[in-house]
Amino acid sequence: MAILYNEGTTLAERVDACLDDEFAHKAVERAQDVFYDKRNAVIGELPNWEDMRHAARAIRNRVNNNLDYYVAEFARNATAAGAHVHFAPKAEDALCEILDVFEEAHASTCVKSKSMMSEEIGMNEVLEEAGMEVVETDCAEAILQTAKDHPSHIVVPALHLDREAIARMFHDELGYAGSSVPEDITRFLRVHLREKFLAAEVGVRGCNFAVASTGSTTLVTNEGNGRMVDTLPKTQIVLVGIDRIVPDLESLDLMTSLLVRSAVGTKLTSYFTVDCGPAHEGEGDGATDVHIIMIDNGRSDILGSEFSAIERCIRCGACLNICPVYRHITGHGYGSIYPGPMGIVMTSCLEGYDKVDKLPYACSLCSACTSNCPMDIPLHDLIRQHRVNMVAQGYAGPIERRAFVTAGKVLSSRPLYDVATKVAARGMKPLAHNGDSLGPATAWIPVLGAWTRNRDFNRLADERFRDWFKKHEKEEGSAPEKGKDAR
Amino acid sequence: MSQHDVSMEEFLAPISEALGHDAVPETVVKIDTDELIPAHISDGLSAEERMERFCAEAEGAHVNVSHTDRAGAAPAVADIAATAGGSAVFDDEPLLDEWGVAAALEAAAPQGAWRWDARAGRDACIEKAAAAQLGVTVADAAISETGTILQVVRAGHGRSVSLLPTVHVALVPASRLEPSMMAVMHAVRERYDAMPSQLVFVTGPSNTADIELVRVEGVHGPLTVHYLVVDDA
Ligand code: SF4
Repeated sequence: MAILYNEGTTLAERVDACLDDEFAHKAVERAQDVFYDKRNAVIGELPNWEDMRHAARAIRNRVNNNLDYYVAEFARNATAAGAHVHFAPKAEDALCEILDVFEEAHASTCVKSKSMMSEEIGMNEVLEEAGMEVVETDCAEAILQTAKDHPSHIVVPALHLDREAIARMFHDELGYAGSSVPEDITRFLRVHLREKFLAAEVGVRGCNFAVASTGSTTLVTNEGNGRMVDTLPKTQIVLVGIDRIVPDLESLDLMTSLLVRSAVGTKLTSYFTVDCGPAHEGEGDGATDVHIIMIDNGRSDILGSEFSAIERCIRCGACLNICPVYRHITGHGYGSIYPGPMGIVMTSCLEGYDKVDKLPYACSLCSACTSNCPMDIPLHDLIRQHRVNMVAQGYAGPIERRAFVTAGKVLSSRPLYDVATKVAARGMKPLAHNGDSLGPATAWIPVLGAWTRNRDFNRLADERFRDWFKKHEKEEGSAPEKGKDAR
Repeated sequence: MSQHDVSMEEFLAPISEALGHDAVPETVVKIDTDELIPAHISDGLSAEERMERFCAEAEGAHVNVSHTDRAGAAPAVADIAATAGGSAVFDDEPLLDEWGVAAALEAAAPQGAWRWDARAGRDACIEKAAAAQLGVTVADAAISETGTILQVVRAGHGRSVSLLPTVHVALVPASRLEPSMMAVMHAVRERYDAMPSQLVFVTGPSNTADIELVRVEGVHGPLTVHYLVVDDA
C-alpha cells in the first residue's frame, strides 16, 4: 500500500468523501472520547507523568543523537544472539530481503501481526504478486484485508467499519454464518486464524522497541496474534524501523508504560514479549530462523532535518485521539497510513510536499496533540514548520491561506474570541476537563490555535465543519501572499 | 529478485551524515536509564501492600486471582483442571513436582496431562499445547505495579503453554513479586548470562476492541487466565 493511498485525490476531495460517512464520524468521536477518558484515568493515578515524559524524551533524544552507534550496537547484539540482520535503506531493499527469506525457506505462506512498517513498504501487495499467501492476523487488519480497505487509525485501524458490514463481508468472503455481535465475529476469527497460524511457514511482525544492549525486539499486543506469529512458524521476519531503538532493557519499563497508557488507556497490554534471537537449542517451539530487517526508508533524512523530534514517536495514537481535525475529517481524510498530527508530520517528511497536497493544513494548530504526546514531540510546531516550508517552496495555495485569514479575524476580535474560547471549553471537553494532569502543558488553553477557534465559531453559527470546508474551498480565487506562512 | 546485500557500513553512512558524524562513534556516553527513569509507585510500598496492589491490578486486567499455600496449590489446580475439561499441558518445572501439582493435574484433567517435553519434537509440542484445554505454568516473576507475570522461555517452558490452551493457570510464588518491570529487568540481567530467547509478560487474557470498540475477551491466546498466588515464605 505504501504510505499514501487514494493518490491522485486532493485533500479537499478526501475530506468531502469522509464528511459524508456518518458512521465513521460517530465512531471516531466515540473512540476519541473513550480513549481519552481511559488514558486520563491511568495517567491521573501517576504522580509524575510529566517527569516520565521528560525522561522518555531524554532517552529517545540521546539514542537518536547517536543513532548510527545504537543501530550498530543493536545489529551486533542481535547477530550475536543468532538472528540474521539485514539492512534496507529503502522500501525496495526491504522487499527484496523479505522475498529472499521466503525463497530461502521455500515458503509460500505467512501469518502477519500488525506492523505499520509493513504497510509503509507495501509488503502485502508485493508478496501477493509473487504468489505468496499473506494472512493478516490482527482482528482489525484481518477485517481491512478482507474488505480491501485502508487503516483509519494507527491503533484501531478498522474503526470506520460497523459490525453489520464486517459480519456481511466475512459471510461473503469467508463463509461466516454467525451474528454481527463482536464476540461472535471474534470467535470466528480465532478458529479461522488458528488454522492459518498452525500451517504458516513464515511469521512477519513489527517491533515496538528494539533494545540496543541485547539485540532484542519487542512486541506489545492485546490479541495474542503477535505471540502466535513468533511462536508457531519456523521462520520469522521482524521489520524494524531505525526509529524504534531504545538503549537497554530497563528503558522498556518506561517506554511500555507511556505507550500502553497513551495508546489504549491500560497499564500494560495482555502481552509484552521481548525476543532475542531464534529459539535456543532444546526448546520446543518458537522460530528457529529469525531475520531482522532494519529499515531506514527516509528516516535518516528526517534525523538531519528540522523535523528530527518526530523520530521519537512511538506510534501510540494519542495525538490522533485528541485532534479536533481528525475528529472531523476521520482517518481516511488524510489519505495516508499515518493519519492525524503525527501522520501529517511523518507523511510530509517521507513523501515530500509535491505528493501530499495540502496535508499540513489539515490542522488547527491548537497544540492539543503536543500536550498529549508522551514523547513530548512539539507536533503543532512541526506541522507549522511544514507550512512555512511549503509556502517558501511555493506549494501552499489560496484555500489554506483563506482559512487562516478567517481564523485570524476571529482571533483578533475580542467578542468572537471570548465566545469561541467558551465554546471550545464546552464543545471540546476532552481537551479541557483534565487540565490538572496536563501539568505545565495546560498553558495551551488560552492560545488555542486558529482553526479550532474558527471552527467553533462556525459551530456557533450552526455551521458544520463540512460546510465550512466547502465554503472556504470556493474562495480559492483570492491571491496568496508570497513567501510568508499563511497563518 | 536479489539485489546486492547492503552492508552495515553502507546503511549507517547516511545516518552518520545526518548527525554530522565523520564516522560511527566508537563509544558514547552511557545513557543511565536507572537514573533518568522516575520512581515507581510500588517502590515505596511494603511487601504486603505490593501484593495487594498486584492482585488488584490483575483483577482489573480481568484475571481470576486466588491465594493458597504450598499444600493448597495442587487441589486448587486440580479444581480448575476438572472444570476446564479436556487435556492439560504443564511446564517441566521442579516446583510443580515439589508442590504436587503435576501429579494432581495428571489425576484431574479428564483427558490427561502432558508435561512439556521439547525432546518430543517441535510438532508434537505444538500439537499437544494446541489440543489442550488448560496450560499450567509457574511465573518466573510478577510485577506489582501492573498485575503482570513474567514467563521466561526455556527448554522446560515453551511459549505455547501459556498461549495455545483455552485456559491458563499461572502459579505465582509470592516471593517472586517485584515492584516494577524495571526491577524485573534488573533481576533478568543478573540471573542470565545470555538473554533468554523470549521474555513473555502476561497481564490478563488476550482481548480486542477492534470491532466498534467493544471489548471481547479471548482472541488468539487464552480466554481465561488464573493467577494462583502461592505463599511460599
Ligand atoms: S506523535 Fe506522540 S502522541 Fe502521536 S503517535 Fe507519536 S508518540 Fe504518540
